[in-house]
Amino acid sequence: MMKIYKNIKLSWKALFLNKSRTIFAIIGISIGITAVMVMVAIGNGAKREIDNQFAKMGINLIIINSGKVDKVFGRAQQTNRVTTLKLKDAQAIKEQCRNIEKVMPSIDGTLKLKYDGISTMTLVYGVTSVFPEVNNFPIRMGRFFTDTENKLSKRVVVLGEEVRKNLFDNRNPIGETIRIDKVPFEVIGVLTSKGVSPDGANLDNKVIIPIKTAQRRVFNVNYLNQIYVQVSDQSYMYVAEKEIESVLRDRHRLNVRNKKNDFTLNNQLNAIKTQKESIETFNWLIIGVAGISLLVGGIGVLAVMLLSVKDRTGEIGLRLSIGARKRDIIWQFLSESLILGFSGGTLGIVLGLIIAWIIGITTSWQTYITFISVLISVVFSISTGLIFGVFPARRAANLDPIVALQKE
Amino acid sequence: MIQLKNITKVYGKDSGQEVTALKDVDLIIEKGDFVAIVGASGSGKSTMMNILGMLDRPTKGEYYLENREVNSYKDDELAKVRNKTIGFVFQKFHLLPKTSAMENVELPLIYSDRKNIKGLALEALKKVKLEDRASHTPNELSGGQQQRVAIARALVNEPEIILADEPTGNLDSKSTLEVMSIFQELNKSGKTIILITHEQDIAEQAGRVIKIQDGKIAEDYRNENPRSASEELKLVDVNE
Ligand SMILES: Nc1ncnc2c1ncn2[C@@H]1O[C@H](COP(=O)(O)OP(=O)(O)OP(=O)(O)O)[C@@H](O)[C@H]1O
Ligand SMILES: [Mg+2]
Repeated sequence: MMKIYKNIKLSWKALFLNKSRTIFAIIGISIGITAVMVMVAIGNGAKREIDNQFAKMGINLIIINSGKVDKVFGRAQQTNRVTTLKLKDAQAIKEQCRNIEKVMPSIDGTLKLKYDGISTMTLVYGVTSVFPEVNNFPIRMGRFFTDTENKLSKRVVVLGEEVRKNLFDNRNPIGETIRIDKVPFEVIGVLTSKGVSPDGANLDNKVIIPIKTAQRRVFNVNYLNQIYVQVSDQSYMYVAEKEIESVLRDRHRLNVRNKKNDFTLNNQLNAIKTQKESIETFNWLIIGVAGISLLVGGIGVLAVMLLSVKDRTGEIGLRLSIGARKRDIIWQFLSESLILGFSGGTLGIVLGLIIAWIIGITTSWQTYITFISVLISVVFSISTGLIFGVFPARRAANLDPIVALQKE
Repeated sequence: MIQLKNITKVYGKDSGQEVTALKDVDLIIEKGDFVAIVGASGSGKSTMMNILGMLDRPTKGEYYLENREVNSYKDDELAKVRNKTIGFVFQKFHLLPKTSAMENVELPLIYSDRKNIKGLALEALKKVKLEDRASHTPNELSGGQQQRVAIARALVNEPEIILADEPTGNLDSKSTLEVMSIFQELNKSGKTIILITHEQDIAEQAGRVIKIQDGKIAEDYRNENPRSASEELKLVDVNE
C-alpha cells in the first residue's frame, strides 16, 4: 500500500518536472477520448430517439395498405388508391390467420372541423374500438367508443391532444358537440399526447371516430385505406404476413389471372431493422475513430515514456544498485504511464461531456451520455497508458546498472 | 566475510575484442576491514568493485559473500543483498536532482520493508552531520555535502559492507578529509569498508591497502597506524 502511494507520488513528481512533455501526452490521449465520448453521446441520443418513437407506435404491427405504397420524401404514402380493401377482409384475416391478437380496419381523410366558430383542417381517422391498444395510444380524458357504438354508427369522436388544444384550449371538451364536415359529433374522450412519429408526422393532430360512422356518414364509401394487424409475438411476424397475403389474394381473386397484389404489407420490424442497421454502422465508425485516436494517444505515451527512461538512465542505475528489483522499476514507470492515461482519460471525459452538452443544446442532435460510456473511456485510457507503457518500463528495468550509472 | 577465488573477468567476449580486466584474483576480506584499493587507471579496480557489489558477475571463479556463493543468487536475492548488505558510494554521488537530501536518503528504505522511514533517514543524516540540510536539494549543497548525503543513503539500511568507487575523486582536500573521517568512524563502529582511490594520502588512512596491476593483486599490506582523517581535519580548521 505504502509502495503504491510512494510510486504514485514519485510518478507525479517526475511528470511534473517535465511539464510540457506530460501535457503533450495527456492531450494526445484526451483528444481520442473526447472524440469517442462525443460520438457515443450522439449515437446514444439517436438510438434513444428511435426507441422512443417506436415505443409510440407499438412493435408487433403489420400494416396493410390498400394499393401500392411508396416512399415520398421519406414518408410512406399511397400512390394509387384502390377500393378493393373492405371491412369483410379485416373480418376474414381475424378469422383465418393464426397468431393474431387484434385486427383494426381504418379509413382516413383530412376534413374541416368546426367548434364555436373556430375551424381547423384535421386528419379524421375511422377505426374500431381496439385502436387504443393496437396503436398503443391510451385515453387521457373521458373514454374511447365501444364496439356497439361502432356497430350503431354513433356520431362520437375522440380528439387528439393537438386538436383539443386548438378547439377547446383549457375548457372541458367532454360532452361538447363539434362538426366534422358539417356532421355533428359528440366529444367523448381525448387521447394522450405522443408528439411526432418516426417519419415526422404529428400524431396528435387527428380525431378518431368509429369506422362505420366514418364510412357511412363522413366519407360515404364502403372501402378501407388500411388494416392494422397486431401479431401475438414478433417471431410470428413473417408467417402472419404470408398468411394475410394469401387470404387477401384469395378474397380479391388475384390468383385467377396471376395479378399483382392490390395491397401492400408493411411491418414495424423492417423499419426498426433499417434504423438499427444505420446505428450499427455508426457504432463501427466510433470503434474505428476510437482505435485510431487511442493509437495516436498511445504513441504519444510511448514517446514520452521512452524519453523519460532515457533521461533518467542514471537514476535507474542508481535505484538498481541500491536494491530496486526489476519489478520495482517496471512499476515506477508503469505507474507514470498509467497516470498519463488516467489524466488524459479524465480530461477527455470532461471535454467530451462539455462538447456533447453544447452539441445537445445548439443543434437538433440529441446527445446522451451513459455511465457505461464514461466507464469504457476510463478503462480505454488506462489500458492505453498500460499497453504503451509496458515497453519503456521493461526497457528501463532491463538496463545494466553499471552502464546506466556511467551515463550522465 | 568476503572471499574471491580465481576471479577472472573478461570484457567484450562477443565483440571479439577481449579485454581481461581481472585475472585469477584470490582475496579474503575480513569483517571490519578498511580496505583501500589502489592502482593505475585501467588496472581493474572498478571491475573488482562491481563484482564485489554484485552489479556484475565474474567470467570465471567463485565469490563467497558470508559463505554463500554469489552465482547461486537469483535476481531478487541480488537486489536484496544490494539493498541490505551493501551500501554503495559513487564518485559522481548519483543523487536524484530536485529531490531533498532527506528523500534521497530514504531511497533504499522504500525498496525494503522497513518502517519509520523518516526517522531512519534523519538518523543517517545525523551520522554525516547534515541533519540541518535535510530539506535541501542537491544543487543547494556543496560537493562534499552531496557526497555526505550519498554516504547517508548508503548507511540508512545498516549494511555490513560499504563499497566506494573513488568517493573523493570529485572533492577538494577538506571535503575529502570530512568524508574520510566519516568512513573511519563507520569502520570503528564495525562496518567493513572497501574504497577505491588514486591518492596515496587516502590509502594511508585505510587499515589495509591492496594494489592492483593489470588485473592482478600486486601488493596487499596492512597499515599499523592509519592516519586519522579527523585529526588532520582539525589541523586544517586551525590553519584557516
Ligand atoms: N564494459 C566494458 N567493456 C569493455 N571493456 C571494459 C569495460 N569496463 C572496463 N573495461 C576495461 O577493463 C579494464 C579495467 O577497467 P576498470 O574500469 O576496472 O579500470 P579502473 O582500474 O577502474 O580504472 P580507472 O582508475 O580509470 O577508473 C580497462 O582496460 C577497461 O578498458
Ligand atoms: Mg574505475
